Amino acid sequence: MFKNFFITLFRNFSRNKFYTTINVVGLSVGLICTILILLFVQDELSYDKYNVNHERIIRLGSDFTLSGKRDRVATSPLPFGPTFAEEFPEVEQFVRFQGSGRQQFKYDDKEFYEEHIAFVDSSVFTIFSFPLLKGDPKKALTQPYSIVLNETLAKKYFSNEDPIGKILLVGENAAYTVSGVMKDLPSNSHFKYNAFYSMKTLESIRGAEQFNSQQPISFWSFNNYTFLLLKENSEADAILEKFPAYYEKYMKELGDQLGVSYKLIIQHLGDIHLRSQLQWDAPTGNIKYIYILTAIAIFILSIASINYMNMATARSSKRAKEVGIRKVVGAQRENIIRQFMMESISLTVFALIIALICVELLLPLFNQLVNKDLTLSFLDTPEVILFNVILAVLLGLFSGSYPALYLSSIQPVFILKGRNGRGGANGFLRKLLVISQFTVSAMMISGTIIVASQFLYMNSMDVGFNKKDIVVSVIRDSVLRTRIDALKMELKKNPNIKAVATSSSLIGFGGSKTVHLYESDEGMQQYALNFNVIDFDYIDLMEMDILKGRNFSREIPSDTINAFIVNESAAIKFNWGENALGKKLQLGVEIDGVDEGGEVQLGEVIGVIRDFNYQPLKDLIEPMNLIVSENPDYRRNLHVKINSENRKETLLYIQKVWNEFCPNMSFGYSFLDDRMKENYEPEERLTWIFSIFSLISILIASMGLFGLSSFMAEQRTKELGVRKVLGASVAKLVYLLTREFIRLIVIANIIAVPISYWALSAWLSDFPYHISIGIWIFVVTLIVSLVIGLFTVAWQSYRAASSDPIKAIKYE
Amino acid sequence: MINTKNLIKVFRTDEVETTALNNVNLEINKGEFVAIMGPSGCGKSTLLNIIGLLDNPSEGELHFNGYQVENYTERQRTNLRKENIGFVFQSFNLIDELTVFENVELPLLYMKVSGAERKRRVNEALERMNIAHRAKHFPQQLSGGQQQRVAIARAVISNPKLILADEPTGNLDSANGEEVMNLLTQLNEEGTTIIMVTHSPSDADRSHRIIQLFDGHIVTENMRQKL
Repeated sequence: MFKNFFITLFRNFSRNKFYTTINVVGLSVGLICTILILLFVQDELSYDKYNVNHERIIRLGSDFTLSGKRDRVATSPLPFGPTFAEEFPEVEQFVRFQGSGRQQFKYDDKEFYEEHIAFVDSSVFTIFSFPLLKGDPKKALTQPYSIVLNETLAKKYFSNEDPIGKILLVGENAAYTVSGVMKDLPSNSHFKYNAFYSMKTLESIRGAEQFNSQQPISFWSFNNYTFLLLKENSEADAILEKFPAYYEKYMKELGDQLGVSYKLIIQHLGDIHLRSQLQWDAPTGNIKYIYILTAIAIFILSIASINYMNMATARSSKRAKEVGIRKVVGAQRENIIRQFMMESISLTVFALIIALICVELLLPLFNQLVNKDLTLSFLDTPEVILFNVILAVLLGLFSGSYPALYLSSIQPVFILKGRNGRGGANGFLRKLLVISQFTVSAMMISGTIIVASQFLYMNSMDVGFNKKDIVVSVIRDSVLRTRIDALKMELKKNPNIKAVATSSSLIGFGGSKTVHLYESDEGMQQYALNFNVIDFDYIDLMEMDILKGRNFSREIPSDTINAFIVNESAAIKFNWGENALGKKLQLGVEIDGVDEGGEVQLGEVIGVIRDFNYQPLKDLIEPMNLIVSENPDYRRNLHVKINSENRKETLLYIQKVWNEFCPNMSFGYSFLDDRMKENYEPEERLTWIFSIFSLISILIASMGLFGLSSFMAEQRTKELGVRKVLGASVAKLVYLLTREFIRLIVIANIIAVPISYWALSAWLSDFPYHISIGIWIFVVTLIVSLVIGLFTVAWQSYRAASSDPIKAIKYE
Repeated sequence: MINTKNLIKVFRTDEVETTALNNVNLEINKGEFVAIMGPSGCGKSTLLNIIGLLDNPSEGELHFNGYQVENYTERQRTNLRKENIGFVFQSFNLIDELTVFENVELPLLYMKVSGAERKRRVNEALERMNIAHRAKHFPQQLSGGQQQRVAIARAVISNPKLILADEPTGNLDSANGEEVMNLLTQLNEEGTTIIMVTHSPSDADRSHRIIQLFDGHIVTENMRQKL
C-alpha cells in the first residue's frame, strides 16, 4: 500500500514539475523563514536560563515618585543586598553589580580601552553559573583590587601566560591582581560583562565605614544592580509582602522628608531580557518583537500552505480521474484522504530537508542581521529540529486537509462521465485563499513602510540641536579635566575645528536627575529635574535655540553660581508661562538643614531653551535644567565640532593634541550622530527583518498566483480560443484573465487596511515621537500589490491569449 | 442476482431536471450476459452506474445478491463493490502514473491481500490477458487494445461475480474489439455475470439478452437463443 502510494507520489511530482517546484520552493522558503525566526525566538526566550539557579534568582528594582514624576529603574541602593539578607529569611545570598564604565587596561605594552566591567560581590560565582577556568570561585573576588577577566580578555593581555597573580593596570593608577579567568558569558545572557572587580575594592576606596553605611541617605541612591538568590521553595512575593515593614525601618523617614514614595520592583532573572521595561537597564529584547516575528512566521507559512492548497485543488480535475478509478476499484474515502495527506506531508518533509540545508547556509547572514550567534544542530538544538519536524508534518496535514477532503468527496460516477465536480464552492474557496494570501502580503508591505518610515523619522527628526560632525570623547583623566581650557585653545588652532565644549552627561543618552526646588505661587516646590552641567561653549556648539533670555556668559562670573537655563518643558511644567526669566530655582535640597553633598545651588532662570531630545527618542522630553560650571569634575564629555570635510586629518590632529595633553591614555572617540543611531538599533534591525520577510511573503504569494494563473489560463484555453475566433483581441483576453485577480487583490487590500492600521498604531504608540499612519501608506501598498500581482498574472495570461485559436479549440 | 423495481433516476441542476431512468424494472440472473443498447442519452450508463453501486437511484429498489442496497452508505457500497463487481470502461480509465502491473494490482491493495499473493494473482491475470510482457509499461505506452486488456485484467483480479462493461470496444478498432469481446465471452462462460452497454450490434450478439432503452424506459427485452 505504502509502496503504491509513494510510487504514485513520485511519479505525480515528476510529471508535474512546474507545480511541484512552486510548492516545494514555496514551502521550503516558508520553512526557512520559520526555522530562522524560531531559532531567534528560542534564543531570546533562553536568555539567562543557562543559570542553574535562574528560577531562584531575582533582581531588585526601584519605582519611585517624586513630585508626581514617576521613575522605574532597574537599580537599587547599595545597602539593599546585606539588609535584605538580614531581614528576609527567604534570601539565601545576594550579589551586587556596580558598573564602572570604560576603562583603560594596561599590561606590558598592551593597552586598550575595555567596556562592560563591574564591581561585584564575591558571591557572584555561587549565585550565577559563570564557570571559572582558572582561580577559585569562592575566593577570587574576596580581596580588594582583585579582578576576574573573561577568557577573551585574558588571552588579549596575557596570551599564553598564566594570568593568575599578574598585575593589570587599570585607568590612571589602579593596580589589580588577576585572581581568576571566567568563561566568556554566553551570548544569551543579559549581562555583557567582560571582567569583574571585587566589590571589596570599592569598599577600600570609599572606606569600610562609608561603604557599609546604613545611614538613611545610602538607601536613596540607586546605583547598584542587586540580585538575590532565594532559598528553595521561597517565593519572591513573600518579600514584597513584608517590604512595607522594611521600608518603615530603613527608608521611610528620609523618604517622607524628601516627599518621595517608593515601591520595590522584583523581577525574575528569566524575565529581565524580554519583559523588563525599566530605566538604567542593560539593553534588553522586547517581547513585542517576539510576537511580531512569530506572527510573521505564521503568515509566511500560511501563505506557502495556501499555495499548496490552491494548486492542489486547482489541479483537482486532473487528479479526480485517479480518485474516481481508485474508488471504483474499492478505495474507501479514508484511503483517498490518507493518500492525499501523506502526499502533502511527504512534500512538506521534503521541503523541510531542503529548508534545513538552506538554513545552515543562511545562518551566518541571518546572524549578522539579528546580531546573534545562532546555530542549528541536532546536538545543540534538538528541540528546534524536532519541533520543525512536527511543524512540517502539521503543515502537511493542514495543507493537505482541504485538497484531501475535497478530492475524496468526489463521486466516482461524475469523474467517469468526464465531469469533475469543479463547482462554485471550490472556486469560491480558492478566491478566499488568494484573498487571504494577499491580505497578509498587504499587511507585510504596509508594515515595512511604517517601520522603515519610523526608523527614518527617528534618525532625521529635528532633535533640537545639530548632531552632525560632533566628535565626542569621554575624559577620564582627572588631570586632563583640569586642563580643558588649554586643550580647547590648542584644538581651536586647527581651522577645521569649529568649536570645543564639555558637559557632564552626553546628550541623547539621558542624564542626571536630582531634586530641585522651583518657585511657584505656593512657595518653593520640589521636583526631580534632569540636569546637565555644561561649559560656556556648549549651547553654541550644539546649535541650540535660546527662546528667551540669554546664554551663559564668561563676562558674567556669577553665571557659574546662580544662573540656570531651563527648557520649554520645564517652564510649562512649573507653570511659569511667559515669565520664566528671573524665576527662582534651587539645585539640590538640604537634608535636615544640612547640604550633604555641598552642591546645593540657588539661583534664577536666565534663559529658556527650545526643547531638545537629551534622551533617546523612545522617551518624551522632560523638564530639564542646564547649569554652567568650571568645576573640572563635570567636564566628563568632550565635544569637538569639526568641519565635515577633511575629517581624517582633523581626527588625527585631535588625537595628536590629546596625546600631548594626556600621554598615558589613548584617545577614544565616536561621532555623536553615530552614537545616537545606535539607540535605534532594534528599530533598524526590525526594519530589515520586516523588509526581508515581507519581500519573501510577497514572493511566495506571487509564486502561488503564478501557478494558479497559469493553471487557470490552461483551463480556459478552449474558451479563449472560441472568443478569439469570434473576434476578441489579445488585450481583451488578457483583461478577461487578469480582471478576477485584480479584484481579489483589491479586496485583500481593503481587508488588510483596518488590521494593519490597528497593529501598526499599537506598535507606534510605544514611541513618544512617531509618524502618523497616512492614507498614502495604504495607497502605496495597494499599488505595490497590484503591480506585483499584475506582473505575475499578465505573462501567463498573455501567453494564453496570444496562442493559436485553432489549437485551443482542438484542445479537449 | 440483480433485481430492480421501478428505478427512477432524476438529475437536477439549478434550472433543469432530467429524468435519466424512468420506472426501470429489470432482473438479471447469475451467469447471464446482458447487453444494454439504445441511443445516446437514453440512460444506459446511468443504469450501469446504479447497478455498479457507483450511483444511487432517486427512487425505486435495487437488490443485489438478495440484499436491498439502494439506501446503502458509500462505505457499504464500496465494500460490496470491491468484493463483487469489476468494471470495464470505454476510455479504459487506467491510472497514468501507475504501470500495468500496479494498475492491475490496485483492487487487491484495497482488499488488503498480501504482497506475495498479489504478485501471483496479478501475473496470472496478465498472462491470461496476454499482456504480461508489458507489465512494467505505463498505460500511455500501450495501444488501445492493450490498455483495455489491462483494464479487463484489473476488473477480474478480485474474482468478481459481476462485470460491468461500458462500451468496452468503443475506443478500439475491430480486431482489438474482437479480442476484448472474446475475453469477456470467455469470462462469462466461466461463470461471471456480465452486463455490457454497447452501441455495437455485433458486440451485442455475444450476449444472451439485449435490453433496449429509450428515454429512460426499457422498450424491449430480447432473449437470445444461446448458440
